[in-house]
Amino acid sequence: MKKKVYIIVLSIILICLILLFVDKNTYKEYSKDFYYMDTYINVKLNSIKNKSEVDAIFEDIDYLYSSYHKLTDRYTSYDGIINVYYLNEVLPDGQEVIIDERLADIISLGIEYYNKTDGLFNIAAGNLIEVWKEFIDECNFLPDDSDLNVNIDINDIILEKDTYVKNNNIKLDLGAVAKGYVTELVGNYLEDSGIYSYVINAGGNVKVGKAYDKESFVIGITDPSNPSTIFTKVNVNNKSVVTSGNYQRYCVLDNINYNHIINPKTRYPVSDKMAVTVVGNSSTISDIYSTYLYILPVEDGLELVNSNPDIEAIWYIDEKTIVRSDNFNYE
Amino acid sequence: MNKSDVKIVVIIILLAGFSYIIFNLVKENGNTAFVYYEDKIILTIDLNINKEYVVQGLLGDVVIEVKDKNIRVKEESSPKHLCSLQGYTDSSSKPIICLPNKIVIKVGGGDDIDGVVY
Repeated sequence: MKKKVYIIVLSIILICLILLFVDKNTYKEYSKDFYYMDTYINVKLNSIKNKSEVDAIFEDIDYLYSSYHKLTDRYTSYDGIINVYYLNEVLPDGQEVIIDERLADIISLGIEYYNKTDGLFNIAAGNLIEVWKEFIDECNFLPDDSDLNVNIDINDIILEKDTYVKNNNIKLDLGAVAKGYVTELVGNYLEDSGIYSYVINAGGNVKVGKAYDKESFVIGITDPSNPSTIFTKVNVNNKSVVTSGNYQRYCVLDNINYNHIINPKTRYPVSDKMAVTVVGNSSTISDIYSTYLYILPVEDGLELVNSNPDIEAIWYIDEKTIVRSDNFNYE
Repeated sequence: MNKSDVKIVVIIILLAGFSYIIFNLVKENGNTAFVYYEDKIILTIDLNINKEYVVQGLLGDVVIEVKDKNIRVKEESSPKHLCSLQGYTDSSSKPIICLPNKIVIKVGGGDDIDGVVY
């Protein structure tokens, strides 16, 4: 009898030791929330690193989001920081200023994609976006042509290296690129730190690494007709998934939906589709393309995506019509 | 060690294995919601009980309602009421986000989706 008790105790100790050993060497899930860029941001990762190592990484991510938040913020000024607010509201026309290299990089990226998208992706549309934002918030008096006749000419922005000059009261709005840009940096930073299995969800701007305990990550795409549900899922590794849609910020007046994505050519909100979701390798490019494809007519967008091996897209036009690019086989 | 000793050891190992699995299953069953203020948990809610809760957000009281294992924000004060308009959720991948109030409600576990784009 004594021997039995002895064996029982011994095997319990053995199990405890095994569990302790197993636990130390398996991946743990870590998750942290951040609030920047008007958005709830969640970073989830799997790593064998311990809590204090991961906490240090989360602190760096916090710094990345907060510093880019301040640089790209167009509504608030921060002490000692030359940001979009400063360039739009404080800097006089024709006067030059040296800006932060990180901000200059985003602006020059914006100018590059203005040219690549035939002017449909326009970071100089700040004045126009302001008019529509005010209308969407109040939702009573539709702006008329004279209200919309504001300056959005990107040639009124001159950026040479880090020197910024503006003319004719042009205003920047980096809302369609900033979140994707920082999210890409955060993903790259995680990979540089040896973390490959992660999900960064920056307000529906999702970047994922490589799933470690299953085939792939599963990302749901919100159903625009019923935003508390999803209409499809995509299975992805090492991809960025970004949606642009008309069901988040909008106002309905006389049965017409006016949403926050404005076509700079017509100067009116886009109204021929409810949402576009882009799957690409880079969060920056997916973010830019989701806006660009939302503005482009569906046929043109489909042709463009089908000729680009790096990007796939799904268009939710209405409840009955969903269009996929040729190689959209993530479902 | 004789035969019966080996039996006992095997039984204990199996028991440990089963309780480990069951413990993990129970932990993941998605019947609990967590209410965060900034990123601290301020309330844990059992979704099996239909009930109303009130928590303090940045702009005032946030009224949370549990009904048939679903959870929603019933009332809050904010400029656009986005989080009360969001409606019910029962999924960890669809957190309820009250940005102006800095309140987030997440349902724990029990979901095969890693994120949702919107």
